[in-house]
Amino acid sequence: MGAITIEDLTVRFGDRKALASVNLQIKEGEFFVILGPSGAGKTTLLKTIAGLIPPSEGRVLFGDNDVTGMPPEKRNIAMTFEQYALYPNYSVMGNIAHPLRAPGSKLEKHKVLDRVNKISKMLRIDHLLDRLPRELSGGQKQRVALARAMVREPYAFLLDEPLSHVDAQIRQQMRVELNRLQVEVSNTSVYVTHDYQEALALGDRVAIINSGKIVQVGTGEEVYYHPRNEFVARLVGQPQINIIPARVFNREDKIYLDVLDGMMQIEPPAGIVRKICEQEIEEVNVGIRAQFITLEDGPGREGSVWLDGKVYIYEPFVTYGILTVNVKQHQLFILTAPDGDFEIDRPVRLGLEISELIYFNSITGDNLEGTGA
Amino acid sequence: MVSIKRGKNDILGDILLGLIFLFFMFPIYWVFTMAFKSDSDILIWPPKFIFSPTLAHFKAILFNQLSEQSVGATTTVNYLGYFKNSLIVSISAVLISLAVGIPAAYAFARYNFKGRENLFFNFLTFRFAPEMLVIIPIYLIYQRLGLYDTYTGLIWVYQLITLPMIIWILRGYFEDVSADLEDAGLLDGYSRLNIAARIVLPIVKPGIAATSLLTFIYAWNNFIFGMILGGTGVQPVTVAALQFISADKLRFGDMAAASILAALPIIILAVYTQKYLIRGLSLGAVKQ
Repeated sequence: MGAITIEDLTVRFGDRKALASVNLQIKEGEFFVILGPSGAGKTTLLKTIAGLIPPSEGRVLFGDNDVTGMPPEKRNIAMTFEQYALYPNYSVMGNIAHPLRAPGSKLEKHKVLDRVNKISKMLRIDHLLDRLPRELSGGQKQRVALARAMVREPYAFLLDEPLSHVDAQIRQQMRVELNRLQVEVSNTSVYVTHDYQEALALGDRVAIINSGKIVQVGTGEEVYYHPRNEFVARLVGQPQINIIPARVFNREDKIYLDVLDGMMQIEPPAGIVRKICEQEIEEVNVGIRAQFITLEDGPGREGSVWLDGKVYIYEPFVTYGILTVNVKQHQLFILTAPDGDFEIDRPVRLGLEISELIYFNSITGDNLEGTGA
Repeated sequence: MVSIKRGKNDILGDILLGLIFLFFMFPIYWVFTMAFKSDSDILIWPPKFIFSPTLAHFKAILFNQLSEQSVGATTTVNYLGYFKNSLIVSISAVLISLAVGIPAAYAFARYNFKGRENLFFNFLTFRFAPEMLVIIPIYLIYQRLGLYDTYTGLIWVYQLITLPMIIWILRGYFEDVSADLEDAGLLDGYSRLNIAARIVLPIVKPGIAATSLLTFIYAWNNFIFGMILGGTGVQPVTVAALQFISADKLRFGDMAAASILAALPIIILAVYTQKYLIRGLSLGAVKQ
């Protein structure tokens, strides 16, 4: 059990860089989530930690030991695979016991049984031990895969999208259990997912990866409220963050932002103004999350600015609603109460909470707030 | 209920398929009837479709009894001996090819080494090199090495038939096994060899069985290698039928009966394993 350090890790597949100079420090006992869209290099990163893919450059350290050249079977790493990778010719029992029966492990027979029984009770699959993998449902397969990983006492757990192929209902339940297990087992875990909710719910810290590069590392709150760039802002949150373009202009020696060609004017905070001046930025993308937009009757409240638009569609989700509004050619999402009644094309006034605005450089996409990664 | 209306084209297609079926099945049917016809019925014109069947030819070749129809034939043929030769040569050839081909197919499926596809294709070229072209040099070499008319010699040259097939088809089966399974095995603390034996081989076992049978059929059916490189000591059953052509008489009926007997094990095997064969073949075809 322990810390994992990844230094300048690059993995090339032919000419393509699957990972480009990745640096990460995963602390002992930490539940570390790697979040990114498909094809970002998440699984490659996990397999490189496991030793299944040799890095082209860089090092992997377990604690102080450089394990870069160590073969996977010697690393004592437990991993679950996206497609479960259960051995079809072994029963559930055989699958879970498999790592304990490896040539290196000299566990006595009855101890193997004890461990398998204990872990399968914990994951509530003890009644399935005699079955073959093909006789299991998706959720059950996932539990068996987890059990096979957890039956050992590995240096670290690597979990590759463990919940992506189980139905929504089971996913929620499994997430709760994973959280609970994490508290009980408190082992170093690296968890890969493309689902931001899983990432925020499970992760002590989250690393966001895009095209083989780490974009941001931080707690769930950090990546949600202080995304490093537009990519992170869009990846995290449902409905997606609203991003609207604005032009910088100068009036009486003060910097203002002109949103959507004169629809709205914003006076950005001093820190942002300084960045705009330093970098000589002419255009800014303004981001605001759906829950910080309110519907206004009259002129907006103190501390808010407003936009006028027309209802495009309203989607009631029983416990909440998502209103989509067209403002000029832009669509904004607004989180509303579930009982909304909005006619299509009805004009609405949207109030934007000015303190919740996030400002991005429109060219680089970087957050002008300048959060550290 | 939705019923799919069958158009005129479908019916025409059925008729065409029927004709093709008849075209290919007719020779088999004809040989089959010949085996049960008396010699006089075989040679009659116009051909007889209705005749009184006889088992004389089968008796003749199985028990060396010269039937009435065979009167005048002076050579006797130890047909069952050739049957044994076929079994020994074909089974040994397949077993040796499996021993070499399974690891080779695994390597082609899993390891990305330099020149992999070229080497792989090279194995296939053994199959489309005409046997006639190489048989004379091989004959001369075999004479020198003392491999002529030996089981070893035939089994060796049969590798040209069996090994490429086994490698080609099994590669598809191995590629079908998720690489994740092997990765999981490695992380569980097993060596690659151990994983191949404990996990991969049991999964592809049905594929290996099907491929072996198919390969066996090809080995069994081979004619030219046995004819040129084998003397009377090791010649397979396919060549044995030739012996019924003797200076004094063409024993068509005996030849037909011999052919039926030679084909019988293959037909039984093919029908029995048809499901696997199709899967095995299509696997090999779809994968590049």
